[in-house]
Amino acid sequence: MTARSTAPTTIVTGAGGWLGRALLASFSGDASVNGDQSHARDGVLRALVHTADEVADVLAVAERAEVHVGDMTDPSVLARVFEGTAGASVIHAAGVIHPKRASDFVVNSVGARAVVEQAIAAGVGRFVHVSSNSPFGVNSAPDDVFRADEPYRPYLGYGRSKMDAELVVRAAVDAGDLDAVIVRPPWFYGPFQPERQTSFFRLVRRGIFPLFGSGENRRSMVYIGNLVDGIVRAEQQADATGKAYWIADARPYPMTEVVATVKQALADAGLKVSQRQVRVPGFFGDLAEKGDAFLQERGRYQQELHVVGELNKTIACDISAARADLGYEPTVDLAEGMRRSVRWCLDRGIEL
Amino acid sequence: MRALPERAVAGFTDALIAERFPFLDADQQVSTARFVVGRWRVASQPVRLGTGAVATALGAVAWALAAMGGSAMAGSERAGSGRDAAWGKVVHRLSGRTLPGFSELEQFVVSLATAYAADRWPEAALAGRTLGTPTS
Amino acid sequence: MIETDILIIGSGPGGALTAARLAEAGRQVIVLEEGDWIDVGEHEPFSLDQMEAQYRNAGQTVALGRPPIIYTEGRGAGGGSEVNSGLYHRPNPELLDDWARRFAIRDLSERDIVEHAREIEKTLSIGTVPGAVTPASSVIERGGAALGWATREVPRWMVYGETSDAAEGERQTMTRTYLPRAREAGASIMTGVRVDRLVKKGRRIVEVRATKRLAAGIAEPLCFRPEHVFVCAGAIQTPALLQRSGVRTNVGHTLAVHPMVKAVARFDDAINVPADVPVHQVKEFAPHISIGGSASGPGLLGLALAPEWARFAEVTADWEHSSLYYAATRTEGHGHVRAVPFLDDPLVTYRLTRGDGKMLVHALERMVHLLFAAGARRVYPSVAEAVELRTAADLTELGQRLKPRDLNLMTVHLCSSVPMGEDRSRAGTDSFGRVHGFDNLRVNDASLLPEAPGLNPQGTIMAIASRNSAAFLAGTR
Repeated sequence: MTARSTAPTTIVTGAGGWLGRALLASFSGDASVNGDQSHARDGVLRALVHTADEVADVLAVAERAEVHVGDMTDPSVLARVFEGTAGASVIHAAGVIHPKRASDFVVNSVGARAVVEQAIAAGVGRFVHVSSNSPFGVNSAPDDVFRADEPYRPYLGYGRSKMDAELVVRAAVDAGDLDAVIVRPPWFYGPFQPERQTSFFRLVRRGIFPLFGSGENRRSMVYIGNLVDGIVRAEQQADATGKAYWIADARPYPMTEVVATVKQALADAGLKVSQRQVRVPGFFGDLAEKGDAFLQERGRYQQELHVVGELNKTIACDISAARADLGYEPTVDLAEGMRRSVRWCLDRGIEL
Repeated sequence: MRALPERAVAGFTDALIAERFPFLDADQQVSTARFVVGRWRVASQPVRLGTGAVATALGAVAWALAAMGGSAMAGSERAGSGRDAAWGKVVHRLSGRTLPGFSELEQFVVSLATAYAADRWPEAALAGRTLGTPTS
Repeated sequence: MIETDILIIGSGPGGALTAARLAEAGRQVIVLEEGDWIDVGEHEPFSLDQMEAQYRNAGQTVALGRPPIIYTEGRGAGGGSEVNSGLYHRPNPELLDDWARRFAIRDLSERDIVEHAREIEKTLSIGTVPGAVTPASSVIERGGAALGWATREVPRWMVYGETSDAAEGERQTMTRTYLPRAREAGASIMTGVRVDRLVKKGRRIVEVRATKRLAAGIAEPLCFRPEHVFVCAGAIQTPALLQRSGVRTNVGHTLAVHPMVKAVARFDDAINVPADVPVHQVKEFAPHISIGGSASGPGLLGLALAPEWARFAEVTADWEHSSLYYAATRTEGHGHVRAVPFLDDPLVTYRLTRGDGKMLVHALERMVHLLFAAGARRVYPSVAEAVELRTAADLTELGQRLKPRDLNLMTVHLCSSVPMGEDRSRAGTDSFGRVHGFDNLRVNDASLLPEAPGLNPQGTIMAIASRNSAAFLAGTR
């Protein structure tokens, strides 16, 4: 394994998001995101955010960042972001997960194309593309895991858009134009969590986050600090061009364990946790999936329906390729990661 | 004398092979049809009963068509060729449609005929492409 | 009336091995086989002729359902061992432990099986190919290496010369191994005899009624009076015979198969060897999904493309460049074997669950992904509306619209129709194959496996049959 030295400039797209802020915090020396150490680095930190109200969030974690505001599909915005960035590292973390309309998913692939084009024109160094599990659909057995190299089986609109984005990146690598690595995180958790994750905690605390069927279906998850670690390794590993890696916690968790662990983390923080647990028949998940697909075919998107549609599915991956090629080793597990998440929320006065 | 279901399956097979395998010459069609009916004869009874019943029902339609056509032609042609033509009409009308029972019978015949013809004459279908095959 | 100590019905891997074990222990054995004795090599392997001569109903058998599953059973002395791919897996220790626990089966650990497996491996000359494997087999190895998926060469019951290539082995079927051994030890093997019915009285089978085929259309009735009966007629015929004889408890309701989806893959190089099958399998997704290669003569290539053969005529015209591959799965759903009054053949049905359907589609997608990674130029999955896939994008598009009912499914692995175990609410026999409620009636074939094992089952079937034979001898000597 040969690591390269950190580039003079690091560009982070989607910098105002959950992952973007975690990356910039770690780059600025915040050790609390990772297991124990930060990925502090010198050089220019350049951040692209979508709206002006994210600027303060970014500066709060990375004082020295140069923040650009604008749409990642807008070439004039990107031209400014990529000005004078030959040899820079790029971490493309921008994306739309829960849009208002299903047609907005296309931003993921259109944005990736625009960013890749500018990156090529600027002559950047390593380009880390942050993808997702959704281009691969769901596993066909509760103990199946997705390997590093699998056929695409996109799950609805988001899956297709993230698949198309991967294809844009792969085409640029195949043409010899870009030195890119694809990183695929599943469901994340940890500091900088958005409102949707906070409401997940609230539902679990009150015992009304539903378990579907036996609850034995498994989900791979990734603690945000583990993910930052994996991304930095993907950025710095020389002979990884064109490869794609799952970056997740060491093993997938059964849904029952996810819920029980969150309850325990809340209780450990001194919060009163309901003893009850709502359970619903597994086929409600399939119904929700059908409803979600029905709406998306008609251009509509309903976040709750989409999330429920995935809840009875197994979405699990195998990180052995990242371990072997990148030396990636997840240091924070579910119990510790959830404790940190709860503490992060409470420290900020977020009501759980 | 062959039993009624077998005669019906044979009539159907001849007509379907003519319809779906026009690129096979006459001898090839005859030998392919003989193979299919031979395999039908030894197929498991549930398979034989199901396909035989559907073929017999279709055969009744073909017989009725032939009888009507026969009276129009005032008996000037042999009954046999009238029946062949009637089978051809029935098969042409239904081939490629998704109909319960019929689809299974059609699939049974087409699969066996393809296995046999592709085994004996692997290049035969090349001619079929230039002829254009019936689309389903 | 023929009196005998042991009557074995069926001469496939279960029956042949049972016959050899019991005859060699000095018991008086008669084996009844419905089909003929056909020596290895009389028919071209995997040909249409062989199918007609050595498969039940010439292979025209189907389990009804949505979608239906075409299945094949060997018929004749040696049963399936005479016609199958010859791939051997020693019984999987974790699977045996799992079965023992979930189905309450006594003495089924690796320790109870391993000596039996060793003896079988020696008798059948289990080994890998000393020379070159076929190019169609290398495809699987190459695809696996490109994707980082585990593959392995599965050993076979073949005798090879020191440097033989894959297609030069001599297959060690039952007619070459256990049946001659049984005969040498005094067993009598009667072919052309179909058993119609077992006659029961209390806890015993007192009589076995059969029909001996003398010539076309001429038959004579035979009647046997055995001390012990072993039904080894395979996972379809065994439950059918028991049901015809009024033995119905947990018989025929839990048939399990490995449904297979297939695809033709076309390469730049010539890869097809019609008389042999690939020996490599993808083990990465075991036991859920197994990917391997099938017999690929031009007739079978055409069959996989039917009804669109003419559209893809070049596949059979230059058949040397194409080969057939399969992906097989285990299922949650299961099948029924039902003896029907006045019919010789049972009605077989199989119900796949929604999850099974999704698994099969996923298996197909993984197989095609592997074939492209191995350098396939075109892939033609065997589905209702045959399509030509040229790129990964074509595969994605097919996967998005493919419904499980559009898959053309077939299977060659049939088991679990009379499962063994101590739980009488679901087991047809005890832990060693004795039919519950009977003292002298046993099953000793694929029907006993509590589930489809997720790999070629003959090795597991034979090891269990050997263990059961030993238990029988220990208990009745």
